[in-house]
Amino acid sequence: MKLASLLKAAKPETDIYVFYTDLRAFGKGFEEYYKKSQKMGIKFVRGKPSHFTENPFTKQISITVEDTLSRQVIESDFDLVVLANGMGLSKASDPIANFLKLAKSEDGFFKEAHPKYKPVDTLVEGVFIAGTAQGPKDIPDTVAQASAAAARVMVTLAQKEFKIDPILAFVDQNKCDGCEKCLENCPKNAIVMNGNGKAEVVEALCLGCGSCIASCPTEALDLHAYTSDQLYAQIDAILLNKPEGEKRILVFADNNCTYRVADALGVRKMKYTAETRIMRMPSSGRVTPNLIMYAFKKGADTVLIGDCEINNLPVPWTSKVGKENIEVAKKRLEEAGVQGDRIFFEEFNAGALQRFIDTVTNISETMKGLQPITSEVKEGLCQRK
Amino acid sequence: MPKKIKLTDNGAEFLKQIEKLSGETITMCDQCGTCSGGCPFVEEMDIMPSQIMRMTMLGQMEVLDSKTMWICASCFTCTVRCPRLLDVSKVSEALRQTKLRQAIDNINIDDISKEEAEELPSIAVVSAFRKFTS
Repeated sequence: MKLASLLKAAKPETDIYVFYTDLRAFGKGFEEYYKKSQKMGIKFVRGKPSHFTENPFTKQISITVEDTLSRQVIESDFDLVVLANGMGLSKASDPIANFLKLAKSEDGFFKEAHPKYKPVDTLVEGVFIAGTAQGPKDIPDTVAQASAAAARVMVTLAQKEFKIDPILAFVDQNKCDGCEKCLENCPKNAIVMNGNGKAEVVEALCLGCGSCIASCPTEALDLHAYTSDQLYAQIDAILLNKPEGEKRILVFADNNCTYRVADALGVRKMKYTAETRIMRMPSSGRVTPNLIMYAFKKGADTVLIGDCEINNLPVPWTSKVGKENIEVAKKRLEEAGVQGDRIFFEEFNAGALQRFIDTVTNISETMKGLQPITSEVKEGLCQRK
Repeated sequence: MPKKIKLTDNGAEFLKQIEKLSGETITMCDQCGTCSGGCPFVEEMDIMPSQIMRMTMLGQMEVLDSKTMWICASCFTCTVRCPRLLDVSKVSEALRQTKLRQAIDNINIDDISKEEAEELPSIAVVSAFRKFTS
């Protein structure tokens, strides 16, 4: 539209046609722009040209297109045809993306940390995006977003000390035997070996996802605010005083999606089966096989591990670890002679309220056919008392 | 039957002429259809007022062969309702003028029988002959 009106202004005798399928002048002052181009005599025809043929002698290009407003087919010659392409991110962005470990969304642009709450942050701490790196936009929007990004950079730079989330992994130096198994189980390579041959967490890099914990054979690794002792105590409290004949679904809800879904259900006063008990976890990767076994030992009949859809996960790695843990737990249940499917895994997005209800209802239905685990079997499930 | 139309220089000239005669910027028409929707005579027309606008914009001179502009009573309902503040009845009038300026005489005196001539209002006969004289 801009190019057309510039051309029309420079050479008013040019006959200009704009073929479009849908035209939205969405921004402030854009409608006036559209009106102005119409007033200048630029003709807008709703319809997508179906084919172009070049006349070999005159080099004119013939276009066939339906004017979908008047339901007529136009077949006409044009001296110049300009094709309007969709906008994409430049190829030059690839090395930057690789270097800074920036994620791209499905449309090919750099992904923001959150489309509404963190529109200029990226998933990498301290890296911000603005303008057409994040998506197609015009100059005023780019300036607005760049100002926001600059402000976010200043917030980071103005701090004397950089504050990080207190939910971090830590290593009990007395328990660690230096087996190095945890090193490869950290998505951010935040675990290193120190001078004493023991593992150590680099707190500035740790995301607090808890994926490393299941890999530690000596239980030396733990996560602040979600320590194993705290979680075992939670399971104790949740399954305490379970009446005879009742059943329990223990939901390990990841903090990003499933816990929010459960929270939203409560806010909206939506009902789901009273057999459900919800435990908040930092991610599905923190749900170690030991925790699952302990839940069964203390009286849970089924366990549901809720996770984000893999595209929405801040760290997709946690889902992989979570699924591996579930496989280990399933094998251990089988070996102990426990009948039936008792461990469920489901991915939720933050709006999947009804699906959460449906999932627990289905599990509750399956649970009716399950025999309670006998106390002898229960004892053998987990070493922890 | 859908037929293919061609965008020509003649068509562009035609549009320019109608725009000059009517004083309206026809390319401003958004094809919203408010004029056709509000027109009290639209049922009598062969093509709708909004189609008149579109055909004129694309330079289709067949628009002059339609009945629509003669049925238009210039009631200005379309003009009042047009969101782009275009005066569709002025365009109608411009089309009527253009058609008249082609000076095609459809009345041949020899074709009128004596009986018919006696029946015809004399004022109509006089107007028919004076049509191209002023």
